[in-house]
Amino acid sequence: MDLSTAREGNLAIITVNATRIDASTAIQFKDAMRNATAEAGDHVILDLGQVAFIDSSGLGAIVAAMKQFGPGRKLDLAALTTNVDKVFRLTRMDTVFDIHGSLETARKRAAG
Amino acid sequence: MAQDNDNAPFILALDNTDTAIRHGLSQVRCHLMGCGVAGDLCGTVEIVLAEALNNVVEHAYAPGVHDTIMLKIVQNGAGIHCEIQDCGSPLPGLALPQGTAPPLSGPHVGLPESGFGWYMIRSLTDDLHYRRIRGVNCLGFTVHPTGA
Repeated sequence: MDLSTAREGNLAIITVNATRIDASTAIQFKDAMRNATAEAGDHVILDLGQVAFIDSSGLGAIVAAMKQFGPGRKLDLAALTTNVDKVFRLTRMDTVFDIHGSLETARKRAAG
Repeated sequence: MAQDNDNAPFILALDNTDTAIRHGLSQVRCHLMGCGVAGDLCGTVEIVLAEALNNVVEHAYAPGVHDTIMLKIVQNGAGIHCEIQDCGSPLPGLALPQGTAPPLSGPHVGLPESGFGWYMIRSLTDDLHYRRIRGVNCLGFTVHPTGA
């Protein structure tokens, strides 16, 4: 799966360049996230702005990515589309992640 | 895909693979959008169908067994009624799983990465029913616009 990473000081923004994270791509997403976060700092924002759909496999893959990121490091989410936001709210995973409405909001909050 | 009227059933035959399901879901979305169904309801239908069809692909068939899953979709008033049929293994106990949401308490290392599927299906549907008829699994439900 195509992910692109932009470093902004201590912050790394990882953008998912795909419209779906689902049962057929969840493993590729997890592998790509492992590679992308290996050299990222302690604070990553996952930009999901292009992702129009996730299923429970995709949700599980995002949770797995957060867990493999490890304690002491922080993985936030940004720019959830309507249907992706619905899955996070329904499963209450929106209470587990810090979710920013947009990448701009996330940047500002990270800058303090 | 154009239909003569909104109540004509939309029927798809899908291979029991992840990629066929993905393609089928996009066909369903095109059909529903073409019928003028609101984007939010289309999205909810897509979530539920993805979970139900992925369950069939992952749990009803042994690896390497190829089969066809039948999907029928009908507009039912303001709702969308869906029926899924497959000839794979029956659901355990011939019953729908409870679909309890996995707990999210405790440290992040213990967070669940699966087990949300039936919870999502139950939360987003009405009239959910399952029957095993002559070796065929028949799952049906309706999705209404007031979903989550």
